Amino acid sequence: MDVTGRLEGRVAIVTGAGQGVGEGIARKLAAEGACVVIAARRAATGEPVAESIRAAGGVAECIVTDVTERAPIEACVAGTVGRFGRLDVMVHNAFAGGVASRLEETPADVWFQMSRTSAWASFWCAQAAHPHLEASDQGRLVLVTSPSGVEGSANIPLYSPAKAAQRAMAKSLAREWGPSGITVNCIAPVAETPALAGAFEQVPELRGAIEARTPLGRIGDPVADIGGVVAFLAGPDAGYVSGQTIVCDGGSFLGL
Amino acid sequence: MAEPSSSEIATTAPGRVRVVGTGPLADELSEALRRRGADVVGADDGIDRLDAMVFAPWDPAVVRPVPFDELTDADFDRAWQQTMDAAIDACVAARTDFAGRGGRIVLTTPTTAFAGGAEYAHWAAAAEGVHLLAKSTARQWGPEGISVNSLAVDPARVLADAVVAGPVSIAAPAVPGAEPGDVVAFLCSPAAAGLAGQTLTVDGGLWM
Repeated sequence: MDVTGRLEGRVAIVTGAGQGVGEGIARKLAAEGACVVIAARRAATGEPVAESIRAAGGVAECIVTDVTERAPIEACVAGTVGRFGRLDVMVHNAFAGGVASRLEETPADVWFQMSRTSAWASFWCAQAAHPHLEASDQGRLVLVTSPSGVEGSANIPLYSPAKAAQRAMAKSLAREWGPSGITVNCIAPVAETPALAGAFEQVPELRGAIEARTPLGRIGDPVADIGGVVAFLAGPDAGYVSGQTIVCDGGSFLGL
Repeated sequence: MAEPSSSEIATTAPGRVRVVGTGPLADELSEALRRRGADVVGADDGIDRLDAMVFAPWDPAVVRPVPFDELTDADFDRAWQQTMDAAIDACVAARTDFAGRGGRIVLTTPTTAFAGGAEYAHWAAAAEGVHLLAKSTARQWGPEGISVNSLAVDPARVLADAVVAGPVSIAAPAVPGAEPGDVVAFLCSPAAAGLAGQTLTVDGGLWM
């Protein structure tokens, strides 16, 4: 791993870092020198990510975290500060429940999963992290949303409100926490992940539709294309960027 | 002014409209719709035909600021979860009562959804969630003849304290005193059938 040190001395939590976009973000933050907590629902996915970051010369630890409840998130933050002494960057990326359905037929447990992992977990992650972000001279909250949270979705109609809630929360917290120097932003990625692979299984024509609409002609890489943008938002160069959503999708969505 | 012809009435009258929600905004929109010829029914009125549904749950008595550090799970549930659940239920019920003939759905939202609000993270989440529910249902139900759009209003109408939320704009309103009555009536009328997932903001031009 090429450690460039832009985040040297910083401590970050990335939820949902056992795979996909979260893993990509965690690897990139570690490569930039941050101590990274892999907050994964299952040790079976989180531990190998932490181990491979350590094997490459980075600092990482897995803390098993179920983001559908408040207590595990608070325990993850407390565990992180106990282990590393501080928390500078909270990245909430974990998400579950993206199952295609008609709105009128969406099972209650599917909506519950989306609502809990997106809106509720953003609330809990932000609240638990806040005192530590305030104590940092570079406090950063990054919420991972989706282009569907801006455009709406015919396939997974409630995915969009769940993801939209995060943008409105980020703007609100940008206002509320700005006076203490904390920045709050969102990224809306499209990347090659197990979640997207699952979406392609449910809606086979989706891959072609995305690629056809993407000027850069490919679906993003979780480390290079997505992690790098989060590293920027987490780092010293983004101190005057707050309340924004950066859409990382190869130029597909041009509505902002 | 000449009386409109019957064909003009058919495309501009709101028809039978269900207004879901309580508070000054729901009351104002209901009254505006009645004045423009709509048959306004409540959420629980048994009916045999529905043409449009307006979701207007925002009530300053409830839409109160809470500093984020003091926000409880009960606060977040009341703002985000209960508003979204009510919006979903209202949309699904309206679709059922359109009975396959199509119809119009108007989901209102304060512009806090777009601008954010200090001490209003929980309500901003709900407002933007409702805004995106309009886009998703517009996409999914459009082929059934159901047009779904958003009507955005000035936070001063529906927030208990729009000042603490922070300014939407540094500019003065371009059109002071703008009222949403004509726009909601239009969005409920057959004339709006070709609009899908759009947001008409009637706040005097604070949010652009």
